[in-house]
Amino acid sequence: MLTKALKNNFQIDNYKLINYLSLDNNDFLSILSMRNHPLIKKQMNNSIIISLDEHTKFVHNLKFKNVGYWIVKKNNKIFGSIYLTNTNLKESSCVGGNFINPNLIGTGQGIVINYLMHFLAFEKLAFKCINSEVKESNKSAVRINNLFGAQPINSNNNINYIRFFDSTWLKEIKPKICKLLSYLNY
Amino acid sequence: MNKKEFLIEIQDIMLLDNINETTAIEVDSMASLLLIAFLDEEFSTSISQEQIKSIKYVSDIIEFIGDENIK
Repeated sequence: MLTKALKNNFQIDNYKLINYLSLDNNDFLSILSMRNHPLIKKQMNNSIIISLDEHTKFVHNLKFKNVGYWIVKKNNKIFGSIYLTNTNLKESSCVGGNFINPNLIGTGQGIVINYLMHFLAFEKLAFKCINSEVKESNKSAVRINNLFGAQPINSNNNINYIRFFDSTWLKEIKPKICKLLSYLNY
Repeated sequence: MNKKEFLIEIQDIMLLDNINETTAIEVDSMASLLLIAFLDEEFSTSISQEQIKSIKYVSDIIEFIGDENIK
C-alpha cells in the first residue's frame, strides 16, 4: 500500500506534489537543472554534475525502488522538490530531504517546503519517523530543522544526523509552523 | 517579558550565544520571519522588511519596540 503511494501525486493546500515518474518533459528538464544548480549542489553530498542520461536513468529506476521523489508546484511554477528514501516499512520510517527552487533561496520559503515534506510523510503517507541529515555549515537548514523539532542522533564529518517524530508533529510542531506560515504568502 | 527573556528569544532567533544589547546581528530570511512572528505575538507590533534591513544591533530591535515595553 505504502509502496504504491510513494509513486502517487498529492495535493496539499495550494501545492501540487507531482511524482518524478509523472513529470512532463519541461518539468523533467527543469528539475535536472535545479539538481545541478550550484546553490543546490553545495548542500548535497555529491557535487558531480548530473548528465541528462544519468537523470533519465535515475528517474526510470525510481519505479523499482521503495522511494518517492516529487516536484512541488504552485501556480504552475516549480517551488522545489521533496524526496523520501530508505523507507523502512517495519519501523515505518524514511529518510526525508528537500530543496527549494534556487530562485527562492533567501526568501524564507524554505519553511514551506519543509512543512510540505512533514505533512506528506506524516499525514499522507503515515510514516512515524523521518530521518534526515544536514551539513552543519547550512545554518538556514539547521535553524529550520530545529523549528521542526529535530532530535539529534549523531554527528560525523560536519554532518548532523537528526530525526523527526509524528508524535510531536501534530501536537506541538504543526500548530507552531502553521502560525509562521501565516506570515508568508503560503 | 523581561530583558533577559527578550535577549534569550533574540539569541534563539539569530542563532547566537551570549548576546547583549550591543551585539551585532545579521538578519537572514529565516531570522526575519521568526522576528516578525515574535514581535507580532509578544508585542503586537508589525515590522516591515525595510525596517528589518536597517537592524544592525540588538539595541535596534529594542529601540523599535520601545525600551519601556521590556521590563
